[in-house]
Amino acid sequence: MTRIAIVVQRCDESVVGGSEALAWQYARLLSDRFDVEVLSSTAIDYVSWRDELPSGVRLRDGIPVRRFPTLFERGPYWYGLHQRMMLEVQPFAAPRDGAPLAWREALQDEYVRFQGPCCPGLDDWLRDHHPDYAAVLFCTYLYPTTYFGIAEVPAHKTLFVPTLHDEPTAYLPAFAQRYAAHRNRIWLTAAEQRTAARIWGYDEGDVIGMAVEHSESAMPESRARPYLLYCGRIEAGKGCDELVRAMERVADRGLTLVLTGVDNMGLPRQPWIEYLGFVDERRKFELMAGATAFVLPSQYESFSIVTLEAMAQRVPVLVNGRCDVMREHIERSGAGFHYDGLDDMVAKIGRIATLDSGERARIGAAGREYVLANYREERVRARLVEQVERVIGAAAG
Amino acid sequence: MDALASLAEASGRLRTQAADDALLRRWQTRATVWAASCDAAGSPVLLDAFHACLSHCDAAARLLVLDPGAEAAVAAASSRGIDAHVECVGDAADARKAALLAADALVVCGGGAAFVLDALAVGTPVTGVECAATMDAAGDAALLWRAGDPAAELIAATVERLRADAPLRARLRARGHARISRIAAPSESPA
Repeated sequence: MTRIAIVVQRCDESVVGGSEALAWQYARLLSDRFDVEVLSSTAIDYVSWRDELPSGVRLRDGIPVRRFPTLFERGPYWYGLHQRMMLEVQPFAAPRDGAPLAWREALQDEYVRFQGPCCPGLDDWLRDHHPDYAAVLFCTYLYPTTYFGIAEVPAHKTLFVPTLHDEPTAYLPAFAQRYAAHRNRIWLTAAEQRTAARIWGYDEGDVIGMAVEHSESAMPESRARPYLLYCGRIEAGKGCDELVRAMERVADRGLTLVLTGVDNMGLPRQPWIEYLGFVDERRKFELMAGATAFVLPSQYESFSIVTLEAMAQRVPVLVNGRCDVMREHIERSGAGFHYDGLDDMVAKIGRIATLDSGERARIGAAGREYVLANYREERVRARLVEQVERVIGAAAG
Repeated sequence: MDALASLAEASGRLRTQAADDALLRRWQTRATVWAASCDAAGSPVLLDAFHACLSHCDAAARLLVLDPGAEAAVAAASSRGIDAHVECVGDAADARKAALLAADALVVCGGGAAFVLDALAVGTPVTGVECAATMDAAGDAALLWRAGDPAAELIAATVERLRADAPLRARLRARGHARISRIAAPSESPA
């Protein structure tokens, strides 16, 4: 079989992360057709990028994963750079007098490198061994594994999956420069593609997306009190602080906010908050299927697997309309509502709480239909294989 | 391992060492910033070039001299009345890295290969005057002028061009990265 590689910042069963799940799903979907090898770091923790897993090759579900050691952990030096970047690099901070940015490209490289995971061994491997792979797929624009790794592989044999969203870091000009030549791109949504056109100035590539689990739960959660559900990392950066504030304002309506995932924010103790920690997939789908609504308050999403999983369980969803990708999911599917700001979020929660059963069924069916039409595994696999074969064919020709 | 490969490896390590953040904050401005290295013979050319930059390109430009013992160059700058724009970086690697990260270019007017390799490793464009050591280190990854040329004006103009021309900077960075990779011994890969 033809050998290909997939590069991603982390790869392990214990890792929870959207782009890592995407990379692994692509590895799995492509492994029937190609000899797939995943190239990754030894990190598990996405904040410190600590060197935790053994380096070298291990099999994961029959697919070889080659891990390269991370050289250092993220530290105060990077946080200092990050603080300055947030003030100096965002579009509203761009110099208006034509003077160049104070962030020279070398410093932008430095920012990416010290963000982690810094794996020079991976870069060396790609430089020395890329001829062994017919194509190399890079997942996630943000991390050094892609940013430095992709520079070691001829552009005609790379497939780039940016998982881009409109965040301050994406405005560092070095990203747009680095990826301009890598034109074989896979976007997860049309909204992500438009975001790239706006921020980076190019949008060639195809929208493929990701396969979403759509088996309906056999035992939807049944409770006396209606509840809104959030699943994922519980952080202010994910909009969870705004969600809690909104729920505070509707506390008299008898709604509970149920949350699953790691709590990095410190949820307040309230009778209307129920924190369940980690739950397995079966339990997650039961909770989704029984919820009044699934809420995704994050502004920075390039796809949101969990929202689409909730749609597949026929539950209305409420998302942050400031995220183009999430707004597009809602507008294309009719599967729920998007909001703009706290007041609107409170209003939309009130609207969802008063949906009659007919409206709920109609919205739920629309969401499920959207997922089945666009994100079934067979469909994603066929389009992905086609893309990889096209790149291999062009590279060989 | 030959001497150049050994220097290139050291430069590769510099890439993964933190810069002096306080100095980086001080030097990182939108004004033109030169990092520079020169020997005794190259010092007048460097100062002439920087003077041309101050006069014709950017009156707020700064010159950060990397060489240990650069006090002579600074003293010469004083005699030209431009010493307020000139600073010695000192011996420390984290200070040297801060200067390279803040600079629009490394300007070399003589001197050894080590600073050139550091700049290539970090991703700072290199320009200046040809000499054997510089050419040996930089290969095709630098914009160098022959010593016989009216180098001072050309160097000032080249730094301005580098500031304005992002694709040129990108090409030089890519060549510099490839150059360092070719010279240095590859790091170990997991089996």
